[in-house]
Amino acid sequence: MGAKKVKQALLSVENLGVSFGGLKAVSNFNLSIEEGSLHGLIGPNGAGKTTVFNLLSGIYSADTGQFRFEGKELRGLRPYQVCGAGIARTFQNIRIFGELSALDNVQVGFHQGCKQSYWATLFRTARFRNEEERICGSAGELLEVVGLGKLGKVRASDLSYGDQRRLEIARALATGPRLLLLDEPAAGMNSSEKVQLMQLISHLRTKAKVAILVIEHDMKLVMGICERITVLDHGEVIAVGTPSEVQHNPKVIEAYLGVE
Amino acid sequence: MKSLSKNAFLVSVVFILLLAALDSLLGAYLNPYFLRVVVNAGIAAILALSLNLVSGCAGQFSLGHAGFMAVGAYVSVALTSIAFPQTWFSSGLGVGAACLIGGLVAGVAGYFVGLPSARLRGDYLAIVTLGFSEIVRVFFLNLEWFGRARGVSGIPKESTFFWVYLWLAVTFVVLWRLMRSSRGRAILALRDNEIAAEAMGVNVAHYKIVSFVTSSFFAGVAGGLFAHYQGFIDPQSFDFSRSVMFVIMVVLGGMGSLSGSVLGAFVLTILPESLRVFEEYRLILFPLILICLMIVRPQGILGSREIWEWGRKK
Amino acid sequence: MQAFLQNLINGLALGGVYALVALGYTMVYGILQFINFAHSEIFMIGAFAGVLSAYWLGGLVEPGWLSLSLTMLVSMAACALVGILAERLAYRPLRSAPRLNVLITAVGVSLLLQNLAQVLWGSTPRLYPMLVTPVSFHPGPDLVFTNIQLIVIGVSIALLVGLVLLVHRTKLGIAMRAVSFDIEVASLMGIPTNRVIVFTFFLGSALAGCAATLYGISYQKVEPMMGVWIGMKAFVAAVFGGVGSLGGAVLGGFILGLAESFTVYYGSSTFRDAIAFAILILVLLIRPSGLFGSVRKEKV
Repeated sequence: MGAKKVKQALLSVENLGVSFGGLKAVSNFNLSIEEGSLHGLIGPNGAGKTTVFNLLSGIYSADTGQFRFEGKELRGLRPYQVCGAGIARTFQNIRIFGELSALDNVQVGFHQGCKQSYWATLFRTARFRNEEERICGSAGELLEVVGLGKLGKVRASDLSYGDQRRLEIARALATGPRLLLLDEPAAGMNSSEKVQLMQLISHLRTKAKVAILVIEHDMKLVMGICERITVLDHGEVIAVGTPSEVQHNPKVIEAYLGVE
Repeated sequence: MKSLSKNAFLVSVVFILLLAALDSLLGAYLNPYFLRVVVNAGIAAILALSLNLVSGCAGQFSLGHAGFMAVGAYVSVALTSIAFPQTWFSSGLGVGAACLIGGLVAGVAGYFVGLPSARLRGDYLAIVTLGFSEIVRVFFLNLEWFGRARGVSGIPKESTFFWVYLWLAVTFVVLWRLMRSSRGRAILALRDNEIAAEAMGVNVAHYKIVSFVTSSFFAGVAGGLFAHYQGFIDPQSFDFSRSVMFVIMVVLGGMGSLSGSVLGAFVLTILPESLRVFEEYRLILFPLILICLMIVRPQGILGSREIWEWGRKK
Repeated sequence: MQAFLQNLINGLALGGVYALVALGYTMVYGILQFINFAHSEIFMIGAFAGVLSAYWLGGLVEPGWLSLSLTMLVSMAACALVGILAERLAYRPLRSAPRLNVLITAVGVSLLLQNLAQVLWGSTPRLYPMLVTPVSFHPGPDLVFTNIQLIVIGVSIALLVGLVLLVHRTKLGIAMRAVSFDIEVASLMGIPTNRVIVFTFFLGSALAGCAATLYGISYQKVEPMMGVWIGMKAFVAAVFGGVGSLGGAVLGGFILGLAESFTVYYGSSTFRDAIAFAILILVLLIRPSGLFGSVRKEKV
């Protein structure tokens, strides 16, 4: 026919919105993320950024709008189904599995792709044992990638704050996502840790071909690595663009600093 | 454990032979009173283990365990003593089959209790499970066919040391294999952080229900074994304090530790028989132990470790 | 019409007891976010307190307002004491522990009290003293109600009104509401949270003591296990009305009492106990926050 096939965005969000008890937490949220890109989501405190993440990961159910991931409509799906579709996330307030070891935490991420039936589990078939080895090995590798290689056997709640953050990233990666939502990954990190984080994020994009949407308050980090940025204020998008466009946008400045 | 799995068949045969030998030995040389305590400890261990799965591993606090035990007991007794007395069901194999059926029915009950549990938080779940257990008890209390408050007596006493400890071994192996797998990790994850677990792809509702069903199945089987060891049952045997008894066993051993549950069950069944002070004030001491445990050492004896991991920091 | 009125009165008399016990559950839940499992046994202790005080006083005081009030005060005192002790010894050490731990502890306290009662007073039911000489009124051929029922309804409504005034018109009430809203912020604002919590237990348990007295004069039978079902039903009432909401607990209590009364009349008495459970399941499935409650959303 001759019509050029338009490359579909990896994630396409239209008019997403949710209210809690009459208060519009997020409204008219639009977003478009390309494969393998790095997108930032910023805004003052209480702007609704984590709410957006909760909507995208299925933890909250949106009242309005829709969002499509790889062409598939995900609104209304339960979180484990969203994860199955290819979106994984980390949490602003760390949510690791405290009683489990670091290695086990990451192995949980591999669960949904695991091919152990109940029968295989009970009768310890060869397939079961192979899967266990595969998962264990892959989890170990991911721990290495995030720099926790030697800490696999440590109980997760005994890890340092920074290590726990990295563990969450490893765990999210274990689910094999094509889109990774990072909620304030640099919170509480010192500058050298932040540099390591930026390197890790770049590495993820190039090697794992994962698109990343990151919420961050550290402007240097955001402006430094993001290709495009969406700015949120009071639950609504007030600006979208490249870092420099957003930096000089008067509405953004007003939102952060207030009007003169 | 890995090497054990590979030779599973051989190990099982050896184990069964050992049990049979032990059964004859104990029957011949052990004081019947002590034997009774040992068998009761074994039955309690099956109940503690199964409760640990749903409460310690999956984190779903259940106060209704006695209810599932009751279902298994009454269903199996219905087959062996009420509906088909003096038939094949009164034989050893028949009783075994009846207990199995009792367990299956209890498992179905576990499904219907587990279904709402998927949406309930700890406190509410405790009340719902307690309510279930009380309703089961009152249900059997009101049925003439089951003897109302008198209960059922003259039950064929076919549960021997062998069968009880065989079932204990089966329960332990099944739960062990379940928990040491990807699915087991998923269950532990949902206990530690349900929201994160679901965001990482764990079908939380499914595993909660699976935990309830499996737990109640084994509780039902244990109920059947109990009925066919005592020779009689009545609704009073399955009340609130019985459910709490199992909770105390699990907490004492360590929630999440399978061998801990067995340990807790043994300690709390055998100790009262050996220390007079325990026997007389058992009613007061046991809840007091629970309260003190929760305040001073909530992880119990083993925490989430197993006996053979004692000393290893976890 | 007669039957309707009859059931109405029966239901309200029953509901008054449920409402008073439900208040104890909901107040503690509002402040500490946990179900005080032992509350049902505190109710039971109140009933035994009445039995024991009659035993000790012998025939000193004749049936009437004086003996009713005195016994009620004794019950309230006994219940308040047990409630405060439980809070201080069993619950306070676990203030910052995971919620599951406190829940298990409460279960332990509940069983402890049950068994203590059994050891001390035996499991055979005792007779509650006749504090009020029963008088029946027959306004219609099929309609009968007793002065006891009127007393129960009257006293429970009076107590509820008093409680509402306390919570909404006094400084203490404001403190209670503040602590139930956010305990940390309340303490930062200078509210003595521990004292408020103790007072909440005191109040909730005392109300259970009143309920026990009213129950005693209505049904006369007292035994160590009596708290289990009453407590469960009162809890259902609190959930139905919305845990944390005082008005909800009251409304829930009366509605449950009415539901039971009508079920027994139109259905059968075997279903009486099941109706509470059925309501609980329905509420938890359809609207877990109940009528007036607010679900505390977990921050993600």
